[in-house]
Amino acid sequence: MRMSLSSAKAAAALLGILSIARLSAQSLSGQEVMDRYYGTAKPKTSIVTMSMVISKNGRELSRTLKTWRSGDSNKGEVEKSMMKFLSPADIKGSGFLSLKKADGSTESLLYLPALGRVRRLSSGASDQDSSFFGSDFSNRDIGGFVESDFDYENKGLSEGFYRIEATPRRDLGYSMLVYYIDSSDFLQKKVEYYRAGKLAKTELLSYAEVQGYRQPLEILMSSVSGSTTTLKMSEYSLDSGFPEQLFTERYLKQ
Amino acid sequence: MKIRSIALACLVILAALQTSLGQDFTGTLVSGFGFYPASSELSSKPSSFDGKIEGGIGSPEAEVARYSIDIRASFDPATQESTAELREAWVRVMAGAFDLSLGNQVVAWGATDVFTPIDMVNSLDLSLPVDAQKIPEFMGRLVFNGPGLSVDMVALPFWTASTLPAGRWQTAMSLPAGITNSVVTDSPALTWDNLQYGARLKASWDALQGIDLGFVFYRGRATLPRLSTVFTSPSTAITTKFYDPYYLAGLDGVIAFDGGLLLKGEAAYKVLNGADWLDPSAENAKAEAVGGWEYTIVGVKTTGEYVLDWTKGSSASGDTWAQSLVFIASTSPDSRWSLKAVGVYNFDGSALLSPQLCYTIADGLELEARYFAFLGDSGSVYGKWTGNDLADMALTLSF
Repeated sequence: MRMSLSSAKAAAALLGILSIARLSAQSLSGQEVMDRYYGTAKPKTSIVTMSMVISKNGRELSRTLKTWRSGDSNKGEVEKSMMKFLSPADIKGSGFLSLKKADGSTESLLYLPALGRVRRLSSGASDQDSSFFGSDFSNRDIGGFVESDFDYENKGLSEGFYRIEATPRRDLGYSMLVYYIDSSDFLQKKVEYYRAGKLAKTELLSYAEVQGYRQPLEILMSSVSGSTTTLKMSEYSLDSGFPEQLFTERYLKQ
Repeated sequence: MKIRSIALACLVILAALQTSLGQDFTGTLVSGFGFYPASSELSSKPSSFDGKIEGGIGSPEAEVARYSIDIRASFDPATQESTAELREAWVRVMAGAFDLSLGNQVVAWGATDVFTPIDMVNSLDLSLPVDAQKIPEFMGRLVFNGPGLSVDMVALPFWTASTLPAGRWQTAMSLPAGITNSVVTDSPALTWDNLQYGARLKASWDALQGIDLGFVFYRGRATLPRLSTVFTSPSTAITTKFYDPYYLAGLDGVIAFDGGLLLKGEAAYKVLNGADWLDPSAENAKAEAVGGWEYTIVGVKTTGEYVLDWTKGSSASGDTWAQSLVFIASTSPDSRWSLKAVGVYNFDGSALLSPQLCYTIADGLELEARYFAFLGDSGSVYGKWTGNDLADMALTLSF
C-alpha cells in the first residue's frame, strides 16, 4: 500500500499537531493541572439534596440529606457547609456543621436530636478518617481537601485524562491520592485513595451542567472491602444566596 | 379524662397550625425486654409508640416559626396498663436574634457526657436509674443568638417530680417492727415563690479548633425527695417527702485542640433550702466538678471523665467527698454495627460495667442490646445493685 504525497503531508501535519498538543498537555505540571481544577468556576453558595445509598453484600441502607455550602478555601475564604439529615427517621434532624479554613484546619459541630445539644467534634486525623454516618466516605472525604494539602506530580496524559499523583504534605489519613483529571474540562472524574501504598477505595464522579456550573451529579465510592456508597445530587440551587447566619449552632439545631 | 384532655389540646393546637408549611409526621415504635440473671427473672419493658408532628413557617433558610408535638402511647405488659402522655409540644417564634419557645420542652445544658452537674432543668425518669431519661416540662424559653455568644433563659411555672427508680432499684426504708408509717408529700404549689428559672451564657472563640465556655445560674426545686420522719406516738410515724428549693451556679467548657484532643469540663455549686448561696459555710452546700477528654484512636472514640463530689458537713459531721472515674470506648466498624463499652468506677470500690451494641437491620429498624453489671460491697454506690445485673434488648422502628 502506497500513500500519496499529499496524504503523507497531511498525515505528517496531523501528527505534528497531535505531538504539539500532547507536548503542551504533558508540559503542564501536576500543580498547574490542579490549579486549573481548583480554579474551575464555583458557585458562591449552593443548596443541594443528596441521596446516599450504602451497599454491602447485596443489602442497602439509605440516607437523604440536604447541604448548604458557601465560601472557597482556595480563595482564602472560610468554606462553610451544613448538612441536615432528612431520612431515615432515626437520624432525621441530625446536623453537621463544618467550617474549613484555608490552612486546612476544620471546626466541626454535630447536632443529634436525641442528645438535644450541639457537640463540638475534634478535628484530629482519626476523627476525620472515621466513616461519615456509616458510609464509604470518611468525614474528611465529605469535607473535601484544599489544594495546599498535597504536592502534585503529573504522571502523564492517557485517554484524555491527566493522571496526577498527590502526596499529602501532612497527615491526611491517606498515603497518596491519584486524581484522573479530564483534559477537556479539568474536572476530576476518578480518584484513587491509597493507604500505606495500597489502594483503599476508588471514587467515580459524573457531572451535569447546572445553572451555568459543572456540578457533580453522581459520586460512587467503592471500597476494596466490597462495600459501595452512591451519592446522587438533586434539587440544586446555586448562587441563590442565603444568610451567613445559617452556619451557626442556632440553625444547626432547627 | 387525662387522655381526653391531652387529645383535645393536641387537636386544638393542630387545627391552629394547619396553615403552616412543611409539616412532617414521624413515629417511633419501641419494644423490648430485660433479664435479671441473678434472679432468673424476665422483665417485659413497656412498649411505646411516639408520634411526632413538626413543621415550620418560612423556608428552611429563613424560618420565622416552628412547632413540634410528640405524643407517646405506652403499654406495660407487666401491669396491663396503657397510658398516653404529651411529651415535647412547643411553639417557637424566631425574631431577629431571638428565639422564643413556649410549651413542653427538653433543655440540654453543659459539655460533659455522663456526669452533667449543670444539666438540671428537666426532671428525670429514673425507672431504670442507669439509663435516666429527661421528662419534657412546660416552660418559657428565650434564647439570644449573638455572634459567638448565646444566652439561654428558661422559666418553669410548674414543678414536676422525677420518676423514682423501680422497686428493685430502691433501698427499702427500715423502721422498727410494729411502727405504722404514713407518707405525706409536700409538693411545691403553683406560686411565684416556686417559679424555677435560670440562664446559661455561652461564648465561643475561633481559637485552636474551637473553644466554648458557659456560665449557668439556676433557681430550682429538687425533683427527688428528702425524706423526714417524725414519730407522732411510739407506734406511729409520719414520713414527709420534701422537695427543697435550691440555687445553683456553674460553668462548663470545651477546648478542641489541633491534634484531635477535646477537653471538657463542668462544675456546679449548689445550696439547698434558700440558704445564702454565696455563703460557703452553708451546711447543705454541694459541689460537683467533672473534667474529661475525648479522643479517637484508630477509629475507636474514647471518652474519659473524672468526677469529684463535695458535700458540706453539718455541725455534727465533717465534709463528705466522693470521686468517680468514667471510661467509654465506642466504634462503628461498618454502616450497621456500633459497639460501646462503658465503665464507671467509684472510689468507694464499686463499679458499673456495661457493654452495648446496636445493629441496624434496615433503614429505621434497629436492635439494641445492653448488659449492666454491678460490682462492689452491698453498701457502696454500685455494689448495692449487685443483685440487679441486667441484660436488656430493645427493637426500635422509626418511620
